[in-house]
Amino acid sequence: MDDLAAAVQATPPPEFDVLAPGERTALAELVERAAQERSALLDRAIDDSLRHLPALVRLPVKRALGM
Amino acid sequence: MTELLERGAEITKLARLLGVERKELDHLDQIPASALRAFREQATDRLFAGDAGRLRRVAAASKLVPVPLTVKVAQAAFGPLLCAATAGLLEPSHAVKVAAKCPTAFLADIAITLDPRRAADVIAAVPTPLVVAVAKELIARREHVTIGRFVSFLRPETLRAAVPEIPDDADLLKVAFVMEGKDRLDDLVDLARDRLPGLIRTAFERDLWAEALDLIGHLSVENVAELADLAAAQSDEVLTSLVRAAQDLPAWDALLPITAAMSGESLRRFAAIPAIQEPEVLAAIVLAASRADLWDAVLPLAELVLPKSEADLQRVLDLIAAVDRTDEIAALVAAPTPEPKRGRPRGRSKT
Repeated sequence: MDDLAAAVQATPPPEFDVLAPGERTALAELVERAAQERSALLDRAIDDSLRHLPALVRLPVKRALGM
Repeated sequence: MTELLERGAEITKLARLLGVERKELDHLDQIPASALRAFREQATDRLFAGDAGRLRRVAAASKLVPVPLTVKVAQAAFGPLLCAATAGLLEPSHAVKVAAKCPTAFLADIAITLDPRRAADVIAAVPTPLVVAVAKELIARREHVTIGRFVSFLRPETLRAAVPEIPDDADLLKVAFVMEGKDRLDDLVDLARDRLPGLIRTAFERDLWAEALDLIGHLSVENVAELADLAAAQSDEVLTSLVRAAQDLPAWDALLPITAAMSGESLRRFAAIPAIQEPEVLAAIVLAASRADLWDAVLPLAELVLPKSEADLQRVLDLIAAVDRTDEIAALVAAPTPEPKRGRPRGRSKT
């Protein structure tokens, strides 16, 4: 599995074989970066959201979140 | 031509998904639109599935919190990107309650990053007035790509209410161009039938022939015929602009099926435009017919616009020979030339 297949966790369409190795790697990096940014955003959002909740509901929400 | 346009639209959508400038993906223009679409869906799945477990827990937790507090947290902590990622995991009725309390601008922000495939049930449950309000906001922001992604997921009555909220024909052409599920373009045309002359005029005035030809290329035979005759009824200036656009894009493979759908009178009017008599244009028409197997479409037109002089004919042959297609022009010249009549465009039958 090359970089691009690993990035999308699937086999890219065969038409993408025309891309040069460097172009495939660059595209894979864009997908990886977008995924990592989204995941980091989710981390921050979950932390921030707990701060907005009254103490009364914070505990059950943390349980529901598996924290 | 349609293929080239669809590639462009797909690359734009992929750039939006990955949060990069369109030019960073310019090298993908060598890949067919269908493959780009498949890859975009793979990338979308990756971005949304990567945190699926945590997002599901967030969706479950939201039910423990009163709606007003959920709305506050959604805006202050989660933001539009994560709300979009979570939306499809909420029960539709709960999602609608939350959405109804959110500012329209925030809902528009969510729509921009929402994958409609993952939130189809929620989209279908949103009341029409709320959808229309968000659509107006998105049009104000020129978010044609976002609206185009949603059209196929809207209920017919919602689409009917939303189309008048896109009053600018240029916006309507741009939405249609990037619309996903283009098999519903006939539905869109049915809702905007009184605007068809305006769409053609706008394509001319705002240089949107590419968008207009792509739209027409996806319509049923009946709608293609109506639009073809409307186009042919335009001024010489508009028709010359259309010929120039077909030549420059290039887009003869999109335009020839339209000329084939014209009535005899409309076709004669179109063929009388001086621009179409130019050897370079005639050569491009023959090459497009050859490449896309559009001989049935080109023959009625060919009878009316074959070169008038030996010199012009030789020029056409030379231009075709330059790309090694003399066999095609020989076939065209040898072919019988039927009487001009309403042809059989390659569009889909509406029935």
